[in-house]
Amino acid sequence: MDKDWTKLTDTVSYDPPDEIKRFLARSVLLYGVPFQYLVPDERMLIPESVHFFFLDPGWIAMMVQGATSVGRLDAQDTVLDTTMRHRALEKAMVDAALVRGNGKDIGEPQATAAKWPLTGFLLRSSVVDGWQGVEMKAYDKDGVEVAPLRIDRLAPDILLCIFNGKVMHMTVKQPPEGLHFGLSPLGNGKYQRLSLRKVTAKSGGSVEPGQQIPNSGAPIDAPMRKGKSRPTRVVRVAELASLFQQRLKSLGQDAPDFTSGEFGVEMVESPGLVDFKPPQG
Amino acid sequence: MSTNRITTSDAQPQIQFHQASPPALPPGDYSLKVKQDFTATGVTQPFGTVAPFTVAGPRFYLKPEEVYSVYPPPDLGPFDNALPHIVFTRRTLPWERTIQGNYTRQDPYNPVPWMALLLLSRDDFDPGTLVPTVESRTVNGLLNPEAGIQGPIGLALEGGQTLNDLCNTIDIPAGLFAEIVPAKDDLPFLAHVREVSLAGKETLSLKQDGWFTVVLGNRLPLTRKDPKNPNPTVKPEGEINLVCLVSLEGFAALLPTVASDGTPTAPIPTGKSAVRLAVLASWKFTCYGDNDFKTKMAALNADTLIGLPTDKLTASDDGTVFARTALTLGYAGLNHTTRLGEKTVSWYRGPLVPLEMAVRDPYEAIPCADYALRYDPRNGMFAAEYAAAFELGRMMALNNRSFARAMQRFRNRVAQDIAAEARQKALDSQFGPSDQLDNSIIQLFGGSGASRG
Repeated sequence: MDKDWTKLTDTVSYDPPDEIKRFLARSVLLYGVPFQYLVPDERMLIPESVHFFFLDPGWIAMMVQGATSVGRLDAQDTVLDTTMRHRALEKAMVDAALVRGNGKDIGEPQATAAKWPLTGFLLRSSVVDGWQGVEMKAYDKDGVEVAPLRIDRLAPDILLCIFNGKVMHMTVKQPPEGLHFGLSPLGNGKYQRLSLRKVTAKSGGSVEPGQQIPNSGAPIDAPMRKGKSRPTRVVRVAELASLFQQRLKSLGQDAPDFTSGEFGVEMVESPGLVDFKPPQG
Repeated sequence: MSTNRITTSDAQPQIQFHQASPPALPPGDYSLKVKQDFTATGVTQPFGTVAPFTVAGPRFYLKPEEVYSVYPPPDLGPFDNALPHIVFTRRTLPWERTIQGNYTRQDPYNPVPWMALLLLSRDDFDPGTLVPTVESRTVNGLLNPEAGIQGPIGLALEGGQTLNDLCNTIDIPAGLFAEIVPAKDDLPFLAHVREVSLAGKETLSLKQDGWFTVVLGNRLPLTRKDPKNPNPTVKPEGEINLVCLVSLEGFAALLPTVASDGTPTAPIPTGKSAVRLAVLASWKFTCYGDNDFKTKMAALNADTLIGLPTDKLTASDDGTVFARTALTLGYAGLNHTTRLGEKTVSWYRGPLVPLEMAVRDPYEAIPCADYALRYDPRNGMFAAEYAAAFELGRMMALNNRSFARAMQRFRNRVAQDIAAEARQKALDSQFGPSDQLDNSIIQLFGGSGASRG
């Protein structure tokens, strides 16, 4: 590589067409790379663990060189061929940031160009299998959120995440669309709701809608259906909803249209949020 | 219709709750009639046509891919405080049909979902009696069940449906039906729509729009956990609970009512001992132990960089030290058949490495995979990862025909452009830059008077 052909010409464009750029940018994020190439020995990925990694740009450069070497007429490398392949690699290493799409619309930090070193982790856990849609957020050394470039499941219980930069700290959150509904069990088929959330913006006060109302009174016993020989554990839903509505009214938080939306807000449990720090060293 | 926003503890608005989202045009058979009266000098001739069409939608069965997720997950966990729920990405699904057999339009202020989640557990059945299982039957078996069994009332088949279609069904004893099936007043509270942010989720899920529908169960699971003694010395066994998403289409007249003291009754005709329902989805989970999301995540072993464990390589001879170093760098020893047929073990590691590797600019252009094979003469081993990466890249490119063709075209285009430019340069050096070329030719062919024809 002592001669760069681009210096010899003025008008020829060495910019690869979009189709090639797209394929190579995806390859940089290891799309299409068989699992055995990523993890050559399964003992590297013990169950219920997170394995942090750096992407090896040399490995990816070799793979891209291999991909762009197709269609050569002879194995003798020409200066032209080298130039083309270098240009394609340069592009791909930067364009990898765009594969996931524009993160701005969904509140993710926006990546315009890949910032090497790219880092990430493989998560192998029954959490991946059991909680569809877990949310990953990663932060750099200054606490600034790092854009995710790829978040994909490689197997039902294996999640691969690649982030645009060096991750120093990350959080994994239980999916809010799967936030579950609950009541506190008292035993013997009795349940209660300990506190209520604010459901209306109109009534004023310092509490934001959706937040728990402090001092929302005594716990509300859930009305249950009667069983012949045993507790049924079946909630009388409409009754419970009307108890919620009455209590909100007595707290000055009247919600005249108490529908399934309001009922959902009152019944939902807070999502789990867990912090991780990659090993430093 | 009402909407609610919920802010979770990390202070970003994450989720909005909406009451319902009924479809603009519910599933069923329709016909579109067009009529035009053509009038010309006293004669009126009507023209028209009828175009029948069907809006199809899930009815007796649901494709598994329509289900986005379920809770509790089909797993072990302390789910004793959780009402089961199921999440769909199809925004209108729970309101596409009604509990009446023939479709009546949803009341926009109080839409009633046509599906419900039923939870069955061991204590619903006397010891020794058979616990009902989900069985595959034909639609005929569901709509016209054998004597003694009550099915849905008044369902007419729509376009594309036949009596021989298969569906999953369950027979629930009449008494249990009254105890656990939601009352008509309960149903509207048991389905809603959620709008969530898609930040930080799987790349695949970005194809969705962030709208999810949720159908919620009305019954808490059976557990042996005693809330008064949360950490017993002997852990009780797990309890299996079965959850079925059932269709209540055609059950409007059979749904239970609950007396003010909580006693449920259902108007099941006498002589019918069980009720047959279509099961759209079902799963089992076990109430046991303490492994919910937070405890599971907290129990993860997170202090690892990728690589093989080195704890067994404790000896201090040169070979072991060398192997230990290689494993710490992320290598694994793999069988390797060389080009000459020799069998050996070589080092390989994937693109995921436990240490930061700087980007080199430029990378050496290599003509073929073997060029990237590295040999360590100290121990006679190859390191094959870069050669493998090159070869994999070639295979991936060849496997993707459109990419391989595009690469070929790109190569040809660049080669042609260069040749064209070289020709142009040769001309320029002979006659000067191209804008002066005309003049050069004019001069060559004899002075300013010649025409340029």
